[in-house]
Amino acid sequence: MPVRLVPSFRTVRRVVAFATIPAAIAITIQDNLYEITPVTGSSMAPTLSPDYELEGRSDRLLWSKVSASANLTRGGLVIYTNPQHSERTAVKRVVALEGDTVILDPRRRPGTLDRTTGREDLDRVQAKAWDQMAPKFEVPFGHVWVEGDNWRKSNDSNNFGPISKSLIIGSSPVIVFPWARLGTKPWDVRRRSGTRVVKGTQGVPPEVFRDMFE
Amino acid sequence: MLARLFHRPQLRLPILRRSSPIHRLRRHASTWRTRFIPSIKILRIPTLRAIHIPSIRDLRMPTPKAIQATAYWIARVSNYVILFFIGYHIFITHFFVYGPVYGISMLPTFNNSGDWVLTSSHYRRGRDLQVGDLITFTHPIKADTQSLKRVLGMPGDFVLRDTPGTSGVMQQVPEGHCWVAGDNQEWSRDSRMFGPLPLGLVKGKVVARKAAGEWLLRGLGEPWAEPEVD
Repeated sequence: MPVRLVPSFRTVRRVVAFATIPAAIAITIQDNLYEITPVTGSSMAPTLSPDYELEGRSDRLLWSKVSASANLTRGGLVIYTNPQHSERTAVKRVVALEGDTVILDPRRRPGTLDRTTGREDLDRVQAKAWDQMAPKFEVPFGHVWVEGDNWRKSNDSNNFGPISKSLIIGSSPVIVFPWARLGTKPWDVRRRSGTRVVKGTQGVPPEVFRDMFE
Repeated sequence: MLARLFHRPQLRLPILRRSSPIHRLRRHASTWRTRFIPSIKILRIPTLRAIHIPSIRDLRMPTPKAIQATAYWIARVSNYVILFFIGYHIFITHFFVYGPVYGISMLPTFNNSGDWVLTSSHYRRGRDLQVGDLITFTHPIKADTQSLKRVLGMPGDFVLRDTPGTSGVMQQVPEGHCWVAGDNQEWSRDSRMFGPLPLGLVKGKVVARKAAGEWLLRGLGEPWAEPEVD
């Protein structure tokens, strides 16, 4: 019996369907419902990825993507598109919501640490912007103030200011790796933080945009 | 293919006409032996001509076979619906979006209503974006709305911060952001009000526009560059 060299249309269709349909389903679920991402970097140490600097091990979190920017709480974790690099995402803690007044922590001023990574110019520019925000800064409408737990290594709102809530992709995460901490939320523990927040009223849009919310 | 979804499987018997060869050969035969087709008697498949008059017993509970057939039908239809939604989502986020636009902030480039635009998602998150492009983006203040404006500055560029003729202050667009403005400056809420727009919010770039029944591939440049057409 001759060997079939060219696969039949039915075989090709079946192989293509087996390859593309599960991938498409996974992509759609990831974009709209739930996504698992690794936490790279040590900006949230020791809460998340405590061994990242030494061993490169990162924790994995399961994020809820449905209505991510609604129902934000102070102290909760969010994943957002990096405002400085649009192709990357970052994981930080929401410290202040819109309308709150943030009393900035002098330890978190950009450029206070002796960094020799070639970021001196950027640190100087960001330090000037930080000085304009200090000592008290009111978070504008539609924005949140995010900070990483590791104040020494965190590129957060102290560097680039408050971020728009539209940038937030996911919230309410749960740890799925490592197995020892599966299902826990260790960031719910109240930590002593140098940044203090004065709670304010929320949900009052500025005059220019008021008609969009009626 | 769609018709097959909505029909229950039926056994199709060959139609034997009186002019067929077997009839011509046995025209003078006194007896006809029909083939015994057991499947009909066992499954009792109703034909299109049979009229089913429901009795009081039928109203109590559908047969297990009927339930199974209905479940299969629901599963097959919902399968196709789910696959269609998934394909639609992948197409929207990675390829093109075609939708209507409303508002006066982009006059005279776009009409107040009745315009439809084709947006290419290749330019999402600011990839290959240039000054002068028309982009759609998620609104930075209201996350569930999308806006359409024109890019006036990319990261590093210097742009006028306020309306021309007011303060004259220039601002440099920070890294990872762009400066957007509407073509109708008096009635547009853009970067003069909400500041530089993060490129992560950009959803796509307008590549074609359908206005009042005709497709326009030109006419998307800056209003001051194109000659006025009467």
